[in-house]
Amino acid sequence: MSARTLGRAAHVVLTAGLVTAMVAACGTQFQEDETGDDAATAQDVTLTYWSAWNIGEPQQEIFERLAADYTDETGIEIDVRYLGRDVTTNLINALGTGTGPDLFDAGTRNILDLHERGFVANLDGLLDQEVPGDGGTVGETLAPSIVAAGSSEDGLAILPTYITSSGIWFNAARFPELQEQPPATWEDFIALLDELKANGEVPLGADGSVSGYNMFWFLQAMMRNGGPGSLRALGEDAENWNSDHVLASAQMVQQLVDGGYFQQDYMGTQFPAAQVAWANDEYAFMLNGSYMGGETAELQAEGFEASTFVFPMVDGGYPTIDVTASGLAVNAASENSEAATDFLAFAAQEEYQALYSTEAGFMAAHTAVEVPPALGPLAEAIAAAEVTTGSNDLAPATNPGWWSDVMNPLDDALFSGSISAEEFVAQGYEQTATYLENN
Amino acid sequence: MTETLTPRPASVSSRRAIRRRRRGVDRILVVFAAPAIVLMTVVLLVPSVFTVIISLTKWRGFGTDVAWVGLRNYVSLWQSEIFRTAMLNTLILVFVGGAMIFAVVFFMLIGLRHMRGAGFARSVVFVPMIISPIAIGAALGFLLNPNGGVNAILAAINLEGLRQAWLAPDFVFRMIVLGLVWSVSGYYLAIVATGADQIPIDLYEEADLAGASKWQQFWLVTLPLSWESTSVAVVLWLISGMKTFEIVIAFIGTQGTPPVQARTAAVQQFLATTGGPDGTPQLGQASAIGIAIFALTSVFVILARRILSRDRVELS
Repeated sequence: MSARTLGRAAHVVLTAGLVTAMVAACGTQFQEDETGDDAATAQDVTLTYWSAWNIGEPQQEIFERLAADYTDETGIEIDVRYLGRDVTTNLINALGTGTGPDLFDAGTRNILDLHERGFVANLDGLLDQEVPGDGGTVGETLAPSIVAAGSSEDGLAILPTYITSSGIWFNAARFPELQEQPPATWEDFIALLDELKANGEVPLGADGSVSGYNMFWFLQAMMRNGGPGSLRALGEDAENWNSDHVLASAQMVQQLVDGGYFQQDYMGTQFPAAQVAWANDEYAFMLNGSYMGGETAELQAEGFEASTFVFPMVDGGYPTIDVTASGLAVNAASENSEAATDFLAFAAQEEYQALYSTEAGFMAAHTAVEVPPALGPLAEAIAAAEVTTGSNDLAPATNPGWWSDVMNPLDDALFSGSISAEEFVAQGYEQTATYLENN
Repeated sequence: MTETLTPRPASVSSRRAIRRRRRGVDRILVVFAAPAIVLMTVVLLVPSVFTVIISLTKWRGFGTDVAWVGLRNYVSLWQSEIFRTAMLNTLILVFVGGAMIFAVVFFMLIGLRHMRGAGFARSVVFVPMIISPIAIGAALGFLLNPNGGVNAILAAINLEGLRQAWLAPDFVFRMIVLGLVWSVSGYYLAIVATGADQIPIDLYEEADLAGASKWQQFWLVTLPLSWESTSVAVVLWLISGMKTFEIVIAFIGTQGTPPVQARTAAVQQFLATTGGPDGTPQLGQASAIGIAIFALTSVFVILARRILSRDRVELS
């Protein structure tokens, strides 16, 4: 066979293949409904969900149960891919190229970003939708502060399923008095730390290799001294570093470092060594996320009763509570958005929402679900909160480069004691000015 | 009478035959090379050009606007103290770490030559290369945490004064260099040994008879005769060392952002690509870092090949 004949044959084969593939694709996508009914029946719909959880995690098991019950009830299948924490980058690419799933995980930390990209459907209508079996609407199951934490500027962006916050963890069996009367002010808290240290105990534990956890102290101090938005503002204008509340907050962190309250060599502690030691009752307190109780549940010493109190108040400060809502979002470009929203109404049932508390140890978003006992004080504070902010005051979400290159390294330096509060402020001003000039 | 030096022109028919042969060769080349060319264009050339273009923009990924910023990302990198630290760390890893790796390789070549069970020893040194970074991270946490194995051993032998916070930001990079040397030395030993193993044993016997020490045997016999495999190993190390990433994450853990003192250029690129915890991608800057790493690696590889090139030693 000559080369020309071979080429012609290849051309015919390729063309035939392409046509076959196109016809097959059309057959899949646009096959006519044999019943002639325009509306797709439930059996024709398969919802897709990309999960940020891994197989074996409680949240994955909760979703499996929820999806199975939903399929039994409606006949609608849910095709789930458990992709773990790395889902985010893949998700953005998939949503941007029109190949994203119908449902995906989102939360306060990335709602603004996803909304700006036009990837999340507006779920305001879901709030008025009835919760099957429970009676009442989805909106009635959520506190206003939680709806706010799950919303973009245009409205509800997720069905919040659980919320996280941060607080000071302690063993209520060892400090029963703190359940009724936690330290109300910063001075009370420091006095308590001094008392423990004088008794030869280790007052504070920290996994110093996790800069995000180190940041909790400065973040909370800023939320008290400067209020919501004050941390985020540091990355927006270098002049904001000169506000009095920045130095006051840094001095609070320096006071902890200089006081020698943390365990020996805390900056060299690799996660989760410190929180494991805390669960073993080796340290009195740890400032951490509301998830720490669940993470250490199986490691806690016998008789250990994990509990929390909110960060103490400062004179004339703000009663700020950080509330981060996490839950399920619907792809704005989904062809199955109606079915996806119906699924969210189904998922809002108390029966399923309660699992986030009982199985995962979280504060469930549903108002009727009892929170795990350890998180009672935090949940009360959230329910009564008038001043709230999101994860890390939304600073990394709005200014990620500054957060990882300026704020985190500087805070680590302050928290490790290698720079003073005054140096922290001076370097923060200088580095932020340079960063903003160059980016 | 003078002879003309002009070559005799080929006959028309022979020229046609040559052209036909050339055309034939070209056609075969095209048929066989086309899939590779298409594949390389799709998976390498297009993404590379795309990366260069993105490095000249400010872009957070699909769904956001692309702003043309010219060379600003590169200028920003040049002026960023964080990036300079990350690049300096990378160079320390490549050159100081590299010197340590090849010192281990050469000492093992000298030591293993006369050792019984040399093959087994080589396999043992190679093992860290096939251990997952997650397992390495867990093991290091156990050993290097303040209450971990290393400090416990120091306390047990009355050397508590040497106790350190081995994983603290100011110290962890030294541990990373050591960890890297430990984990990859076996791999480069295996490459260099492919050359050293070809050296006839009688050369060493002659060297022994001539009274050459082990060190002299290494410099005068082993190294010259395994120069090619050593050169390959050095070039591979330069490429791999410039991309050092996993070992940093193994030491720091996935929960946190590596401290500046421990970041490499590749870690800095990762942070820009993902936006870090809670952040959003900064693809323009991430691409600029990628291009910077590529350019510097290329320079090192070209220099290394020039410096290391020498005539092959042939045994008669």
